[in-house]
Amino acid sequence: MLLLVFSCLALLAGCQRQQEKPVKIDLSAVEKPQSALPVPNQAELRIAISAVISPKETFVLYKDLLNHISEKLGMRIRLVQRETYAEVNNLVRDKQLDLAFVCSGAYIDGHDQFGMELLVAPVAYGQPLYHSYIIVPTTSPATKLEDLHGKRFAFTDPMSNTGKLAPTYMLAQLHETPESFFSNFIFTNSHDRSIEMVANNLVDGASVDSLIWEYLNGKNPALTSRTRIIKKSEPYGIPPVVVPKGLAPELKEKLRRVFLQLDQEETGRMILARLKIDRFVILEDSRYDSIRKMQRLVAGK
Amino acid sequence: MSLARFRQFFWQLKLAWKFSLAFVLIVVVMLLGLYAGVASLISESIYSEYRDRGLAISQNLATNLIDPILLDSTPRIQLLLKNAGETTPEIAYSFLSGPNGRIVSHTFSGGFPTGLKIINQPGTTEAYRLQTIETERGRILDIAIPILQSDAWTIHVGFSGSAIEEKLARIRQTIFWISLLVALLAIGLGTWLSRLITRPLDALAAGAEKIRQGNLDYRVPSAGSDEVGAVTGAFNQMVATLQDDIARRTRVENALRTSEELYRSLVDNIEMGITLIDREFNVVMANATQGKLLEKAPELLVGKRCYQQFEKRENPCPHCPGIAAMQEGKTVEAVTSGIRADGSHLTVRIKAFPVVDEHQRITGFIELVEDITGRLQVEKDLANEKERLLVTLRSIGDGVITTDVAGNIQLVNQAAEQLTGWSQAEALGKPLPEVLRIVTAQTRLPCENPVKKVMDSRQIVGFDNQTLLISKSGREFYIDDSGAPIMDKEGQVIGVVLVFRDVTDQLRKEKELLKIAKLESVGVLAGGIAHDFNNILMAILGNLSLAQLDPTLKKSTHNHLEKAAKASVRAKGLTQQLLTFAKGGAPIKETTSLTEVVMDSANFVLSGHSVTCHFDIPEDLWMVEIDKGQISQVVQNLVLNASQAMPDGGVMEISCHNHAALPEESTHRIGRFVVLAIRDHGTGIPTQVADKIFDPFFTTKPGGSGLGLSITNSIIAKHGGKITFETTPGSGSVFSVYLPAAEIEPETETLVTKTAEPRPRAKTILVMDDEEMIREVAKAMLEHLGHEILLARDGEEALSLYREKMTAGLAPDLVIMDLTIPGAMGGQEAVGKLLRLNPGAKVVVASGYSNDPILAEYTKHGFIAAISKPFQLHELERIVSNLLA
Repeated sequence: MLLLVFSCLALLAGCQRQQEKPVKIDLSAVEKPQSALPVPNQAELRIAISAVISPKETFVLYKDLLNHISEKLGMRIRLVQRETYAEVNNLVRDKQLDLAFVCSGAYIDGHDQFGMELLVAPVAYGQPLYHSYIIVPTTSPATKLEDLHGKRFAFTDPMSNTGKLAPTYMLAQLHETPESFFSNFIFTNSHDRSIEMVANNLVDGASVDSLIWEYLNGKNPALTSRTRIIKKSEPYGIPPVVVPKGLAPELKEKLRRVFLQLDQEETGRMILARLKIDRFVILEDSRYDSIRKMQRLVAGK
Repeated sequence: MSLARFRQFFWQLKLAWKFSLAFVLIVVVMLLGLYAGVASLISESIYSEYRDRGLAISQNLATNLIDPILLDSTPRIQLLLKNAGETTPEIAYSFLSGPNGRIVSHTFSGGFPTGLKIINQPGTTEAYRLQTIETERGRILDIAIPILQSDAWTIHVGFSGSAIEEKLARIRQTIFWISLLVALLAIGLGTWLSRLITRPLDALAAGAEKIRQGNLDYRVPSAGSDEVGAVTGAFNQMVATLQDDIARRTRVENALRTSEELYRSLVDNIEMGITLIDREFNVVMANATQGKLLEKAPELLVGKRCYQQFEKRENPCPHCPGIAAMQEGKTVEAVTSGIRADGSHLTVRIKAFPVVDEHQRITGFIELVEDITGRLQVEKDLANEKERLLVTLRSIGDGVITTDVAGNIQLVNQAAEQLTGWSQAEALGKPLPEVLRIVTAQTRLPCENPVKKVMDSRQIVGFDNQTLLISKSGREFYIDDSGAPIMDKEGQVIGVVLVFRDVTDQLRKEKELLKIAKLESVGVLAGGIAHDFNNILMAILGNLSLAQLDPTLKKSTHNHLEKAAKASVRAKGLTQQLLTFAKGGAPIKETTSLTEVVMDSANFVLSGHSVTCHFDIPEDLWMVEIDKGQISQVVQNLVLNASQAMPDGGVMEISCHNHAALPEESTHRIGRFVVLAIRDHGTGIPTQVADKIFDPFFTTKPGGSGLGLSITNSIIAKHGGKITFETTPGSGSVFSVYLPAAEIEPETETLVTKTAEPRPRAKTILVMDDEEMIREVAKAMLEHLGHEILLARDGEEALSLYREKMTAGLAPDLVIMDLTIPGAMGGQEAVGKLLRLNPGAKVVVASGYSNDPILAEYTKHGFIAAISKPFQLHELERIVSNLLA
């Protein structure tokens, strides 16, 4: 009987910890210190994607496309993301990148300042255009931009068209500046983050990329359903895919062909569908002049 | 301890201990289980929480790192890792590995440990991977999380377990102490509870023990109204019932025991063997007597076959009454005999009766064995005794008649038959007077019925011996009779016994005795006359013998004197016979030959008779020690009888011979006898009187005294001899007298006249006699013998004279004293006094009473010799010369 009791106890005690055996590690045995910075690899194709949405979302969203490009070109792809459009533009300017997905506003700046070249542009919802949406939380009483007077507002990036230029232009038309109109405003650096902040009532309103809002509306309706669009801007030229000035023409051509042929392949179509892009097309620089006009107006003011 | 031993140990414990132990065991096991379970659960929970927390922090960190990674912002990465380590103390380290396993950033200040580089590499599909590592800083959970779902980037967070281990240790300790406390409380509570439960049970057990020890009055105190209380109540009730039951049973047992003891006492003490035997003849029970009968311990018989034990048989005894009893279903008796171990015979009566069980089936039998050996012997002895008594009664010399109370005859014995002439058969039932016809002798009138006399007086009644019984045939007997009542045990008279005796002879003998008394008177007279006669004869014979000495006498004168002397001697014999006849007397023995005594006595009797005598006496006949006078009388009597048996005359033969021993009595001290046989050729002695001839007063001769042979027998007996006779009726008888032979040879008797012995020198002799003529003749005779004589008349004078002479130095050499001095001191008295004067004095006793016992035993009285008067000169001379030699 006693034997029985003690064997039961032993069994119970054994149940206490059922874990894999620990591995012995000597933490004092260390390697020589080395640079934490990555060493540039010349064999790579460096592609930057501006922070239209958060870097992670971007990564996820563009991963397949990047892999496809890598596969088509037979080159390793290195994704480069930066928090601001300006940083990406600088990298393009400094030829630290071979390809970049940039915002329309950033393109205008790059193109105009250091000859950033437009490679292809996507066609979404049938047009190579997009809008700026002024959104408020669903619970907000605001129905027009003017209702957001004295409220907290979220911009995306200072260089962003839809996230900064367009609302500033709308305020200018109201003879207002963000500083005068809003009680407070912030830069979220990405559109999805701005949507999240509105949905969570962290800000009373935000200006976001229509493509991003629609993308998220399809992907995460729970989020977008908590936002309401109170103003839709005029259409603008869609954010393009650019290359630095002086990129090897063969590579430039190869790259353009890859993008343009995406909609002609099964894999390409699947990638495009995920990105909510119909196809890539070659677009004239003039298509971004409306934006240039707004820039001038805002700056001239 | 093995399970079996524990179980054994456990069952030996008291109930309280069992409860306590069981409770403790259960509590301990439960607590241990609880402890292990809780500790495990808490451990698991804490570990899980710890892991989840680590994982959450790590995942948060990983999420936060995505952007800096994607943005290639190493300083931001560095900052994030640093901040994570600072805000979460559990984070021991963190590092980010990039493409190709390059460590992009880490928190190790002294360099990145090489060991960490290769561990915990999550697969491409894994969201995270955990690996516990053992380091000098303690146990650490390495949480590896791939970033951007690629193997290119992985954040590792080292989550320290030491805090959690400490926490767990504290929790375990707390649980342990709580468990211990609870266990102790539980043990205490368990013990208290078990005591609470078992206390009434203990009380119940103690009560049961007290009751077991006999205290039936004890009641267990009530233990409430629960189940134990109910049990206690029921127990007390049970005890009460039990008590009643036991009391009743005790009474029954006592009765049973008494009965059993009685039965056992009866069975064991009864003088009867009792055996219980079953149908298979096995002994079931045997009592002590049965054992004694078989000389075995009774318990050894039990279980064994009866026939083997009782009779050493291999099969049931053919005479077994038990078999018959079982077959017949009733008591059966048998008598059988056997032999005991000591060889003595044994007779037993066996009574067997069947034993029946409650179903009326015969299960065996009981044998009652009675040893009737003794009883049979007693019965036999009793029958013998009865027979003997009857025979005795019948044979008894006295007549015995018994009657019932009515006086009807019940028994007549042989003597009574002879006396009455009625046989018992004739007399039975007849009234007594018809058979016992008794009359008074003088009046011849019928006596009073003795039965009536006895019944009236109810005591022993004597009858006048002048009662005359007239027999059936008319004979008459004088009877002496008595009657006595026969009483039973209660003292009731159930009959009368009459005892009577023919006293005709007795009366006749009484008459004879009367005659003897007369004769005795004559004897005394004769004795006196004889004494005087002897004195006179003494004087005559003395003087004659002195006169014969005168040489001047003429021849013819001498012859006359000689004849006168002989006549005087015969006269002396007559007086002697007269004396012997008168008084008997002890023989004065002297050693002599029988020849002269026999021839003289026979011739004396037969002188002038028609019967002649033929002597046959050998010369070498042994000497005998006899009183000549008495033996002479014997010879005279026998010769006289013989001559009277031959009335027509004839020759009788008298012979003597030596005999080595008496025919029947060879034990005589000497064993040598001289036999004198006197044979006649007469009529012989009739057979019927042969036994009585030596009886006094028995005579067949008309006018006979019946004393002759009686005196003869008496004399011979006094000489240590014996007389026998043989007789042939019609042809004669022979009487043989056996006399002891003398031990020494006889002195050669020599007459003074014939032998010229030299006379002894003159001595002084004192003669004491009251008769002057005796004194004178004695003086003359002794002086003739040359002695000087002193004379005294009586003892006083003799003593005075002796003293006077002794004083003068002339003490007499010899004193001759007369035994009897009328009116004065006689010889018997004087000799004592004289011997006191002079113990060396020689005194001779002389007496005319030759049958005086003193003469026979003179030495006892101080005399040195005896001489019976009258004595002659030569007798005196012989004694004197012998004494003075």
